[in-house]
Amino acid sequence: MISGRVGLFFRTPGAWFGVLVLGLIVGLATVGPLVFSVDPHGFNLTVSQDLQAPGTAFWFGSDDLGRDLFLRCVHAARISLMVGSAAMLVALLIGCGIGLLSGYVGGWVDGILMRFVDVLMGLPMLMVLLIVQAIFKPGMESVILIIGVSGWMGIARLVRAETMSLRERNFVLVARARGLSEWRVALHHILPNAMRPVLVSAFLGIGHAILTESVLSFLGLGIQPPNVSWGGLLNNSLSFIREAPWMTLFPGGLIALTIFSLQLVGDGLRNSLEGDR
Amino acid sequence: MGTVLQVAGLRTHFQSAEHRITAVDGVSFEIAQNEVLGLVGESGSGKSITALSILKLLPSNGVSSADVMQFQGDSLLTASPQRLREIRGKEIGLIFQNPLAALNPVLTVGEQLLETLTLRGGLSKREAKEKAIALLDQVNIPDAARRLGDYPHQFSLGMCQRIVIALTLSLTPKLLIADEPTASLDVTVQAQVMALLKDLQRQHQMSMLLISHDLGVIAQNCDRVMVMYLGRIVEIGTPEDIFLTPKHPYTQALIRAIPATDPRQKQVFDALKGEIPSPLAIPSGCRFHTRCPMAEPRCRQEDPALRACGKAGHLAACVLAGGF
Amino acid sequence: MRSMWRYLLTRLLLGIPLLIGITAVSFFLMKMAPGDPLAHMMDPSINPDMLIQIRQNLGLDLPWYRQYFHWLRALLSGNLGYSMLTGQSVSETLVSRLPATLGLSLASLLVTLVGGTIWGLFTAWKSPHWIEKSLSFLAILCLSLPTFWLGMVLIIVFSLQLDWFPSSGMNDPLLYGQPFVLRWQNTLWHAVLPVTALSIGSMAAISRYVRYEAGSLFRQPFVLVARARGLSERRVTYHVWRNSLLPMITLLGLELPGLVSGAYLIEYIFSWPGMGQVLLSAVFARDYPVMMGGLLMTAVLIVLGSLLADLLYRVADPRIGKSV
Repeated sequence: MISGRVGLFFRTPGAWFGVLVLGLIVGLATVGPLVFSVDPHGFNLTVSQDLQAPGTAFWFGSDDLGRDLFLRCVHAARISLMVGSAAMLVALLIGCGIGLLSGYVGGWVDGILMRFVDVLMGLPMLMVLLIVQAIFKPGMESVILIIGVSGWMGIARLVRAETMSLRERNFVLVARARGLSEWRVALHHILPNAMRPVLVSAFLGIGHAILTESVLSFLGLGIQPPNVSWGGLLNNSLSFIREAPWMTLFPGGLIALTIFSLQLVGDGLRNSLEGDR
Repeated sequence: MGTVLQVAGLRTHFQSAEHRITAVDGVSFEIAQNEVLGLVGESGSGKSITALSILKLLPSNGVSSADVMQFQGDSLLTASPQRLREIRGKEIGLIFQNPLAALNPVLTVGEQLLETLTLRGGLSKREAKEKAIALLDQVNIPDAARRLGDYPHQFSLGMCQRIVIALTLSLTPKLLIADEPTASLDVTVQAQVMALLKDLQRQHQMSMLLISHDLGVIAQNCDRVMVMYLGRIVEIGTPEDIFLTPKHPYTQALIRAIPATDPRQKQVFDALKGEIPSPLAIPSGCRFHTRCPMAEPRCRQEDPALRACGKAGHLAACVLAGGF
Repeated sequence: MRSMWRYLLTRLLLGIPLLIGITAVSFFLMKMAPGDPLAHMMDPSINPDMLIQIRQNLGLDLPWYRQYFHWLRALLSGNLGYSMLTGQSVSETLVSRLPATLGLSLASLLVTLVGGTIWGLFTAWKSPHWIEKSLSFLAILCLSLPTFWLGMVLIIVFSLQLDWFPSSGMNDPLLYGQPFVLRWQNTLWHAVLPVTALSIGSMAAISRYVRYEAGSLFRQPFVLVARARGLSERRVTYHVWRNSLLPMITLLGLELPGLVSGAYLIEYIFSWPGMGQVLLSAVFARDYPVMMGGLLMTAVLIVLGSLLADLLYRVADPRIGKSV
């Protein structure tokens, strides 16, 4: 059974590539900062090292303050991945809660909640986030929180649909007939069964959260210095786009590569889960 | 009376990642001009695949080969894709089981008729429109001119099948392959549609390969009948041969399975035992021996070919055929 | 036709909760924002009594719900307040920027639709083939590129390195007073990179969707039957395309909010003089009235856009609306 699933996963085109790249990035993000223990955010006052092109001295080049872009990318990887995953976790919690409530209780509760979801999904969410960040003080916690709070709707819809179909299934009816409380039925019998498709979508959602965070930080309204994410590294790259295109290419390329491999792995996961259904 | 279609040794299999499923395994037959040839069998016996193999319209994982496949002297095996496209529709028409699925849901009936008549029939827009109305009249669609602008879902299922028939006849093919033309219709409509189809076949002097699992439809409409089981033809003969003196135990079982219409007659409902074997595990020897009430030990090894039994043209593939 | 109007009305009414939600959220965010909204407009040496008088005149001493209704009433008469930085009317500023934003968005929408459909249909049609695999792979890659970063990469490659296209603005200022056609061409030239950056991601999304839909559509009986009528592959693809239009429109409606946000970022990157540029500058400068007005205007655009998508859906799908 397991080998069948794994087989289906790796038969998806590009899944192995996704796993490889993602492993590399995650590995670099966890081990990297320990290996390259030089403070990457400290200013380098040797003027001659400003805006150096990529080469043997600076693998990814250096920025306008002479800092090694590669080291900064390694450190930023940690923040980007962490913020993305944490935000997704927040979204997962809210989405599962609301979806389960909506699907299990049904009726007018479902009607109101789903109308609410419709309204939220019709918003230009990125702009709303920018405005909220502009009004309140940006910071790591607030970024995680608002990305999570703004991104749970898709998951809620999915959990609701799964819950509604599971609610009518025999094993749920049997559980209720045994006199288990509604809470227990919902949390122990329905939710675990609804999770499989949700996890794939949550996995893909990490990519979306990383993307959203990068936009906020790129515009200076996300993670604040001294912490820096890949998006934050792009923050002043537009001003140096002529002199130092590597300041744009490398951090952004890492974002794209991460989202790309998350997508590939997610597609593989979906195939392997659907395959044995 | 010449031969319109001659097929010999037709084999079709489907290739998936793990399996190779043989759906048609060495089928040979001929259809003469004006003849209606019936093809009966349970679902999964390879009837529809035989039809699609002739038109070379198999799904992409289907592969077919044949020793001979001659259509009016033209070999379909070596025909170029362009020639095949010429043949499809103009020479060989196909009528499909589910008429609603056979029509494009978002194009009007008129659009679908007109595209066939202009792109394939070479008519001008105006001629095509007149012809389309005439065709719909011919298949008894009331108020034809107005209904050209309607979409398939606005017609009843029986009407849809009439439209499909009109669509197929618009190019006046020499051979009509009708794959379960009435299976999805109501019983009352079935007879009407079948009568219409038979009528048009006689009018236009077409040959027809009529595929059905309904023995009644076959018995009433065919000049000759083939019985198919697990990708093989097991018996061929006239309707009298097949229904009155069936030689193959499978044919006999099929006929016994027809419910009697007379309620006073004691029902001997002797359905076939067991299910049709999976095409993944085709039995050795005679394919029918696993379900055959008369199977002998040798049936497990011997794979009998079609051979004459009794009257000329009556063939059966059974070691016992002719012996009793 | 009457049902169409009734439908339109219902849809418009359904947009109202969204707008009320947005206005309420905007209003409360604005109220919670730090700082006195009057402080920046006033001479700091003003007499405190007069300040109270002005506050009363402006209704700032009223309870929040009355303030909200006042604001809402002003809103309905088209007054969104005044910029804290320039003192200009927010609605006038935004409306003057609307054509540039609409032009950019509609151009990308067109490119997205046409490009995504061709891409998806071609991929589905080629299946299974190495071209199909590489095109699907490319779609995933394009889907993963952050729009704003893609914009910057396009500037680096096509503007700074190759010098093929301009990197910013909508017009060459030197062309001021030149013939209209010349300026129009110049604007198109300026639009190439921003439209490309904005379209690639959603194009890939659409192509994946169309590929998936068309993949199952190509296996539908009506495609088989169309082929059996001898219709050309191009015509068959047309049949499939007509059917894949529907899910595409739905998808477009869903993508719309993201597309608009993307367009604003692209305006910022390419200094395209649209609403996004104004909105983002306002965000950087914490210019609350402009921020809120911009958000509100964007929401209205999205409501209208999804309404349009819905109408298109009803035009494209004969199965709803018309049959009654």
